[in-house]
Amino acid sequence: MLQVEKSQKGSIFLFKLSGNIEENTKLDEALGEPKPQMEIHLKDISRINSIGVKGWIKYFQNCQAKGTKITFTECSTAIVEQINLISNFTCGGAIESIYLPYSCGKCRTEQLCLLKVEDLKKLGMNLPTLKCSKCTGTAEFDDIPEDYLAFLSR
Amino acid sequence: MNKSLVLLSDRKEDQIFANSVAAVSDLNLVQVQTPQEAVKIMQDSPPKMVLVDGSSEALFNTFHETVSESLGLYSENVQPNHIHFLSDLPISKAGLLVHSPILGSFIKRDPEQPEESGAHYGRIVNAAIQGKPFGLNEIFEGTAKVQKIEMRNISQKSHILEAVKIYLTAGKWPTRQRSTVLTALDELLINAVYDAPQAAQGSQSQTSPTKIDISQFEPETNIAVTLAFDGTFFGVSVTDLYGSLDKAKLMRHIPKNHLKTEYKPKANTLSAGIGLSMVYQTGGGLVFICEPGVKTEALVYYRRTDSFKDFRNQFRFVSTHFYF
Ligand SMILES: [Zn+2]
Repeated sequence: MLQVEKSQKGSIFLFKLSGNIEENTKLDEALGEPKPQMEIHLKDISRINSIGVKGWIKYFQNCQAKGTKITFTECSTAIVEQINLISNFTCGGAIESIYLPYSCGKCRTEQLCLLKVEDLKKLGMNLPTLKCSKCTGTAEFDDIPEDYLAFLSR
Repeated sequence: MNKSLVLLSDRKEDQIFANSVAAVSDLNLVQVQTPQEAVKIMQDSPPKMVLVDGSSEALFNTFHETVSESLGLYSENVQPNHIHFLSDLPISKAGLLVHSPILGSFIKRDPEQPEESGAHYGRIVNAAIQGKPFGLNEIFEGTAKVQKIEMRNISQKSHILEAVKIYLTAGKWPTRQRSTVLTALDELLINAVYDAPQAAQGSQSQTSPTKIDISQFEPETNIAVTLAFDGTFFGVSVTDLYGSLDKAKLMRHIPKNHLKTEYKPKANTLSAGIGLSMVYQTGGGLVFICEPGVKTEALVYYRRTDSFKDFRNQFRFVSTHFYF
């Protein structure tokens, strides 16, 4: 089930999405008609299935055709996976920031680290380590950097 | 049928893999040097398993041509269920091999852990060589508790996914591994609910997905979800009672890659056409067992790992078994 929180900041329409995107998700009803500027906040999207991807592409392709300036912010790992699987997933929109998955080498606690795409580009594949939030261990990036960040070099 | 595993490969890791498969499935490993030797055995008495190095187009073509010339691609002695190809290339780049009518299974070679992968794959081979349709139950027999959930309506899909999520959360599965398993199950259910009945009808319906009820297609139909976890491997399968799986179509879908060519959603289909390729690309093994007109069981099989990096890098394969 998808939930949407709407707000407006100047001329930008903000949409905070949470939940899953699947066959029952109607993005045209949830987000409404394409606006000139839209910012889509994706931190709390936990899963998207193939019919959800189909609906997503249809909706944002329509936005693209209508000249909407789209920005995707705080993309969850589920969204990053789709960006890396489907070349036109962002439909011309800009990716501002993404979450990176981390895991502690000592206690296996999972953590997320939010980074701006422009900062990631500067870092290349040299991702920082983090202090574990639960123990004294160090959390490391837990995915294949070349795969998870593949979209940066497209 | 002779109880041999005929290995056509000169690679050390393939020998280790084959040895491991043979040990688990109680087959005698016979290593051959040429396609002619392999085909001669197939001609005299078809072996339970033929494992071929299909890493290059040249190797695959030589084997394919020898089979075609000596036996015929559709001969009784050529049983795709028993023919497995090993490849270094991802399935999206494996070319002709994937579309060959003699291919039963595609195995992405795991050079790091050939013995472990062989033992894992051997369980599938062991279930498959019994000569009758098998499923998750037979693969996990004696090693794990197998649970079954019936699904009679599409509206139950979210409840089933929620139940599996609770099961995995209780088992302390890391978040992303859990999500990958749930998405895979979701895609298998989508396939069984939307694609299987349409394939059985032979045409795509125009109805909106949210209004579809599987009882519309066949009042008696139901879908069974089966789960098993042995502490290391987690398997989940979806069985429909259409038996409408088409191997050629399946092998066109799974290798799909939308990085070079844009994804263009089709308006006249219910499903997205990318679900199974998404499942394959996110890791694990896929097995399809089909009795045409009777049932199809589609299953995914994952190794639970400490890190997501290892989960993503795990041994993967697509294995098909048809019982006409
Ligand atoms: Zn820790």
